[in-house]
Amino acid sequence: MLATIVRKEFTEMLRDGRVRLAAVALLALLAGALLHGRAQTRALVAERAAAQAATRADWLAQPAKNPHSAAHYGIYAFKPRATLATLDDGVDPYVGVLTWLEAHKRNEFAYRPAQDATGAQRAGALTAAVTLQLLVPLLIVLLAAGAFATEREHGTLRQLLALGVRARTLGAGKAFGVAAALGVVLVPATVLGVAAIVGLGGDTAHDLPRAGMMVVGYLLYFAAWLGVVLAISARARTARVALAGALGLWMLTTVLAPRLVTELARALRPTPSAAAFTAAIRSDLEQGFDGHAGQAEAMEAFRRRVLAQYRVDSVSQLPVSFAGLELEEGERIGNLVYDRHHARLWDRFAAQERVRTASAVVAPVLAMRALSMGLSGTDVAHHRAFAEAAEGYRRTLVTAMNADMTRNARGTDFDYKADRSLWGTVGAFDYDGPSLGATLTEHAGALAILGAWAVGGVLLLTGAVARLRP
Amino acid sequence: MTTLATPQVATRVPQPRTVPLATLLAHEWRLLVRDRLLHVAASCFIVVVVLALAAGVRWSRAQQATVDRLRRADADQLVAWQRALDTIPADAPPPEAFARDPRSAFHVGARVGRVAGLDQPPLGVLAVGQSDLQPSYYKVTTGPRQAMLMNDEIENPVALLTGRLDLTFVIVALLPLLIGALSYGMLAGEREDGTLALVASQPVTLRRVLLAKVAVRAAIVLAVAIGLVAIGLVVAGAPLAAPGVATVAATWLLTVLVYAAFWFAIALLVAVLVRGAAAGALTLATVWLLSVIVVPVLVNVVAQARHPAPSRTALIAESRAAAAAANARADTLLRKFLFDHPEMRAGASVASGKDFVTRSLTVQFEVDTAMAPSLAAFDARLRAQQALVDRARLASPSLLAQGVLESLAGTDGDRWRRFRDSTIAYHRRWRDAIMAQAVRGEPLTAAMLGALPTFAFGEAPADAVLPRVGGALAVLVVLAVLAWSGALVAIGRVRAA
Repeated sequence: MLATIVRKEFTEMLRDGRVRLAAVALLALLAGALLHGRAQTRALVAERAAAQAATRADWLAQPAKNPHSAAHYGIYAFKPRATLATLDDGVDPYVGVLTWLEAHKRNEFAYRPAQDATGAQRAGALTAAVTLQLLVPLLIVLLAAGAFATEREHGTLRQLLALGVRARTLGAGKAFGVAAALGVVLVPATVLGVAAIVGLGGDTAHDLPRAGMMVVGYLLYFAAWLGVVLAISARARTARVALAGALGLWMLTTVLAPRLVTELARALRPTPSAAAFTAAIRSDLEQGFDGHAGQAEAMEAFRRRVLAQYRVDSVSQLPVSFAGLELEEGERIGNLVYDRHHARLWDRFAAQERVRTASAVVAPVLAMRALSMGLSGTDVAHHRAFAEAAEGYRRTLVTAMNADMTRNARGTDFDYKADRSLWGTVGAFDYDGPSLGATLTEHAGALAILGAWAVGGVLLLTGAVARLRP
Repeated sequence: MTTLATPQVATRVPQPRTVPLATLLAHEWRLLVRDRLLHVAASCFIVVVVLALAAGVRWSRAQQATVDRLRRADADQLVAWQRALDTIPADAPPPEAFARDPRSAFHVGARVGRVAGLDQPPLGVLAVGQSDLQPSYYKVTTGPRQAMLMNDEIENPVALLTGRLDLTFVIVALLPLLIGALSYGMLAGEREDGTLALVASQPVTLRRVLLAKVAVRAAIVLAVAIGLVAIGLVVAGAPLAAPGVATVAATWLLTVLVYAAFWFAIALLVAVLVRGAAAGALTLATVWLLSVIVVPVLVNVVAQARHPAPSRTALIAESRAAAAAANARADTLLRKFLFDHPEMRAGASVASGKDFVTRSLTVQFEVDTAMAPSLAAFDARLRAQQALVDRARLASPSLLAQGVLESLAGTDGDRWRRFRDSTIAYHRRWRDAIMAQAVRGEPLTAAMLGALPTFAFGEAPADAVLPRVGGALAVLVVLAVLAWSGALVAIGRVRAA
């Protein structure tokens, strides 16, 4: 019986011209999105590799100079493009593409690609993720809103139930029928998605499990929508009411909710202004913080400490360059301050994300989006990880310069010139993103909520079907 | 009503006077008011409008407060320096190169600098627009121009990605949904409920009935969309009395009116052409989806493919090379600089050019000069892409309306680009003034501090934006007129059965 119902639903849907048109349009959009994403990834990966090599070459090609001058010259770190960003570029257009690593300062990431675009471009980017998160639920609405309601309106539901078809069988049949019709779109979509990320030079061992998890996430998301829309259809008096209800739900939860929740998150956990942020850092550096002395006092104390340690009376008697030691101490204090404020800022963003994820209880797209970005390596957590790695590299580089100065610049300090061979002693910047485990932990809440939505959708459907009225 | 029971008779008697419009409207009003959908949709919309207005006010005020705070700190700093300078005796030893001393041109000009701030536009509460991506203040020092422009406002990138709940979003994306929700069942609903035949039997044309239906819905929608926003603007304290602002605000509301008229025409067309309320709802949703989401997204892809934004990464490599070249020639740069700037030669001290400060200033100067053509070429390419996107807005009434509404609110990026350009000009003046001080090598005095260039943004008159949006608004009007003509022609074909 079940197979008959599934076959009937499936055939009926595929015969509907509107469904065919919608499916073809959706696949075309998806293919366009993937082609576009693939071209972007190709271009960005090449561009970044060239830039990273160029900045490294610039660093190595420095003439003999004072190590501190070299530290000031610094090096750039360019944000990598993840292979899976082909599917979902997430926040990438909204974070800077590069940061300058130099002495004394932790610079912010500069040049957000979206800044070089117009307001029209804020209306949305064409990515596979957007297509799947926004448009597939709409296709589900188109497929499923009439499932019970139309039969009820036509009077065939009464006939079916009178024939002795069990409501549960009917519900399952409708669900599998719609799912099968959906599969006509989603199976080619998955093939296209895989084809889009193959041959981009990505690390398959890294990307494949993530892509697999993505498929799981999207299936949960679609299952939730399918269950909810079918439940609406089972309860609605007419097809018109079912459709209006399902469309209304789609609009409220996928169009309105993300923006509403963003305002909520900003109101509950305000983002500091850049001016306040830099002022707080400057104040901590100059006036001290948390029992740490201000700059002048701290450096004086450091001088006394060094003199005591080496058991000498003046810095000129030190066996090392005091300027080098002083620079390193300055870095150490600066790093404490930068760590403190950046951690606070990242935590603020994380708190805003928690508001967003919690809101996924009413708008599942928020959980799906977070999970999709996380698995694609284009969420805030991945950006943070890269920013921290770049900062770590900055510290390694500056410390190496200071150490050389301390060792070799006794008596000459800033007039000392290091040999060109020094630049090569600092290895190239190498970065590995967070592991799948870390990403899943980060988005465990989103995954749990998606799972709950999927289960909830099925429960809603079974509940509605159990009380099915002709 | 007796004619209803005996239609054969009705055909013979002279046509009764047609139902007065007032009766039709009152009837439609009573029907709508009893409809639960209206209550739900309208109250949701009202709540969202109020929330969006509140969000706009919050955003606008916070932005202004930050700029005000920075300006105050700047002014306080200047006063503190001038006080300090007054107390330093004239024969005091000159400050060390890196000293935090107001007499040091390096400290004042390169380390501390000044703030260039952008005030919120008078109608900024209507649209966040691009203002969350474009900083409303810059720290101006003698440092390279590119470094100055790198400083961004902090924002959670997810918030930037999602976009803000401002009034422009509510109008562009949600208003058509409200119109659709109220109108999708206008005709088909009555047909499916069996009441359409009853209505058609009345001495009134279906055309009149439909127009009355639209009129009542339009009154409700516009009362909310226009009335509430107008009241909101007054409550939020928008400076409507300032010259030109009221005109711009009125144009904003006019744009909303035209955009709403377009969507009502679409709703009417769908009501007439598509049989079945469910199919009508689906058709309206599809048109909305195309206009609000799909076409804008496609426009972006085409713009990116046809005019890819130039690479910032490549630009960095170039400026890096310029810096290296300038550094290599640092010793000869000052001589070249003084040769190019004879007005600064007079007081140039013999020592200058050897010390680190003048040296680094001349290097920065050289980098800016060397990079200027590349930066100009870069901006030109960006403008080409933006011009393409602006033309492509024609493909979607929603993109068109969004552009007009954001331009009128002053947050579309055009005003910001003028601000950035004045900041760049100010940066040049500031750098030159500090350079002149540094090469002279004499300590700054209170009078010299007071004479340093100050930033002023040449704000255009509020209504200067009107000619700029005129074309787009006219296109929107044409679209609305076309849609209405189509709808009015189509209405003639409606059958009750």
